[in-house]
Amino acid sequence: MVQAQSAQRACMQAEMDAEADVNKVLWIAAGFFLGLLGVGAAYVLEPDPPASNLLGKSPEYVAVYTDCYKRKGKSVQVKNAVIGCVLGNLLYVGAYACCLFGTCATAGAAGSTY
Amino acid sequence: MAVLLSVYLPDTLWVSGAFVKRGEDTVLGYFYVKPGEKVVYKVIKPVNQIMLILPETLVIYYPDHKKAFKIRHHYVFTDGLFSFNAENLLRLGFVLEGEDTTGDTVIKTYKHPDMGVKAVIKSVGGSVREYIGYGVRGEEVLRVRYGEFKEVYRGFRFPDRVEITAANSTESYDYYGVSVVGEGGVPDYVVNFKIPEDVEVVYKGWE
Repeated sequence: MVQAQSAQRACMQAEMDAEADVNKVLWIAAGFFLGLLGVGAAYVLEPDPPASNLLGKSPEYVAVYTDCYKRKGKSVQVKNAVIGCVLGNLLYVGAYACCLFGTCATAGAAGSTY
Repeated sequence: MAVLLSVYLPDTLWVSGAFVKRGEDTVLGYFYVKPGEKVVYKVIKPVNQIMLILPETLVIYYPDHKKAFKIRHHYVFTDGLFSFNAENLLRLGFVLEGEDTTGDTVIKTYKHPDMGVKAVIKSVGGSVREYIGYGVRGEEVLRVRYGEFKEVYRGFRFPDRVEITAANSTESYDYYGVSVVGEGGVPDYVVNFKIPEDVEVVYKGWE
């Protein structure tokens, strides 16, 4: 019972630390500029728990903390890379639509003069 | 730590001393740094633990539990505490945005042009005293305060205290008896560390 509680505490601490440590702007940029490649990188590259957070901790704490930190860190990375990817694609589609309709409108306007 | 130290020290020497980490728990032990190669912490309280920070692996060994972890890591070879300096910021792509000098106090502001984050380094009399990191919205995300620096080897100076505040929690490291020694002054288990064969090794991040 006590062990389960301390494991839960270690996991909660790891998740809070991972949420604070992961560079969200970097992963949004990766998704924005690299698209699915950025999302893939966010999924493959696991964040590392800082060594100082494991100093003086028990083996049980280290085991739980490391797993929870990597899992939460990866999920934050992927979420932000997906946001970046969606934003990038929306911008691309928007620019393409503007370009397409702009060209049509120009062609239409040009055609109406004949 | 090793990245910074390697700039100042010959690679045949070790930096060693005792430390007390205060935060949620109090951790006591010794540390040994071989510039550019490894950082070793020997924790004596609250748990018997040996931690080795190697270029790609973090090894954590518990002699009393006969258990060890080998955690793969990708971060720069440093324990983070001494990486908050101008050289590392410039290496990470930050550019100097402004500099303000009042007496012997110099405050330098760095900005990352792509990420939009900022860092401020305050030095007094040539020694770094404070490092503050700001997020994209200008919020403070990290504050590192250094104590008094003492010369331990031919112009190389080491702080007696480092205090880190991040995510509403503060932890501090006090260093005692820091000195620079040759291999003879370092325990054999630090120089030639090897996990005994009867120890259970758990691998993390190698899948």
